[in-house]
Amino acid sequence: MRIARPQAAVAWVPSRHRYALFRLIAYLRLASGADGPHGDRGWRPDVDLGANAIVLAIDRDQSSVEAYTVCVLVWMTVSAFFAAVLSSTLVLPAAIALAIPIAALTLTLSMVMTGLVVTPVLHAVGLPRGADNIAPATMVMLIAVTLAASYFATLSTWVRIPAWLFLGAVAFNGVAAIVLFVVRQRVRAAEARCVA
Amino acid sequence: MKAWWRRFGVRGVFWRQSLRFAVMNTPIWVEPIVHGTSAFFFLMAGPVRRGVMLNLRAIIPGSNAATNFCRAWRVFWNFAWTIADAARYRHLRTLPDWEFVGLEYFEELCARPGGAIILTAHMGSYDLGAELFAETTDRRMVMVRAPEVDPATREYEESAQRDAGVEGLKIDFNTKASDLAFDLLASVQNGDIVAIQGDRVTPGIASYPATLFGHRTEFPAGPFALAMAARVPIYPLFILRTGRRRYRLLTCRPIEVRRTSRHRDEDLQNAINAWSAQLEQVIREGWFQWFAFDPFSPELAA
Repeated sequence: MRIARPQAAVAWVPSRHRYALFRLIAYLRLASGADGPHGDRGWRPDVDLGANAIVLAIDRDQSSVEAYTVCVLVWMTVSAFFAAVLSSTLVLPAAIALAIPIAALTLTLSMVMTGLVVTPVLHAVGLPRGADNIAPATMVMLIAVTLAASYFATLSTWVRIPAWLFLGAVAFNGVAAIVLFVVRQRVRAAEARCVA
Repeated sequence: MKAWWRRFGVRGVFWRQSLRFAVMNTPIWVEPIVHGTSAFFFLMAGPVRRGVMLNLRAIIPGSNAATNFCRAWRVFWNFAWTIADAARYRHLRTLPDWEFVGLEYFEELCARPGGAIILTAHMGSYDLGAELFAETTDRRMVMVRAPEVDPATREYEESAQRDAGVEGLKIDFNTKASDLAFDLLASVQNGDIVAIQGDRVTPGIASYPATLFGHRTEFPAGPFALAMAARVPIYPLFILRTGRRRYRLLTCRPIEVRRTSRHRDEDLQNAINAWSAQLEQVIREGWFQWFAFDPFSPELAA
């Protein structure tokens, strides 16, 4: 079990984030010390340690801000695609109202189908098995949304705006991954200072 | 109920298997959406929902049914996240963040030379708390829990616990008071820490009357009798979910159960009243994560 030292600004340890963009932001916050002595979401480890101690886990999926931001981005993007399709037969407000729950249902069912069908096939053709299927499921689902966004971005209707926003976020994440690769030694050193 | 259909019941094994599947396959950004499916259970499980609403009516005096319907949804939402976190830890060893409140009592509990009893409630994640405790201290813990009603679910849970067993943590099931009593007494006298949930009485278990939120209820007698027999303190300890993958471990001042007179029941009753007061205070502040799905008092069900 890896535990972060509470006196450091461990909420901004890059390893507590999954996507490159969030890891880079975390590293910049950690390196600049912009977070000061305050911990994540109101915790003040330096002040509260006398009465309350904290143990922050180092796990890639620990950041709530990241999880909810990506969730809203993907959900709203997929909703926009469904709304665009439905708006050919419904008025736009009705299409949007219907598209939001349909998108939620689609994402849930996609997760089930990816876990039941796609990842077993990927493992069968040689993808190494990990402790879980979260990484391949993420990859498959995000590629599917990116492909859909690539199609909708070519249309001349309003739906191209959310499609381009999604593609822009993917591109930003790619750039962040390159930057992180370049500064990887510094990131490791910064993390080593506050991870037990 | 036919055997093939029983697996889809509320306590059926299908849901445990589905939870494991979801934990192993859900990208983090789909998690909040998948947790929305708890709305399905909330709407389908009428008796359970009504049980929560009846409890809320007692916990929050003057509350109305419409507001308690929404509050009950919050209880279900929290429950969904909590069981997912426990399953994630069991299958992937993913720990959430922890905040310790009442650290002085927690350290006292860990450092004391003899055994002790942890008394907790169906709040937050009992499993997660016990496993964290076993991993972060060198004390051996015996965790007592109610057995699963469904045989297939029981078999699945026992198998999962065997596969993902934590060193220093033993799990016992309280099927009958007499079955466990001597084992637990031996464990406590041996210096182990015994963790028991003290807010619900399992059928077949001895109980004592108490009052909770002004209503008559019953608490299990076992933890108090055990503390008296072994002469060890009871530490009220609660695991409260404070956010996504974030928990608070609240340890309270220990309750001493001493034999001070010839009237054993009176001494036990004093300890039970202290526990009742402590439990009431914690539930009042954290009603949204008290996972009591049946009315805690027969007066509420009447």
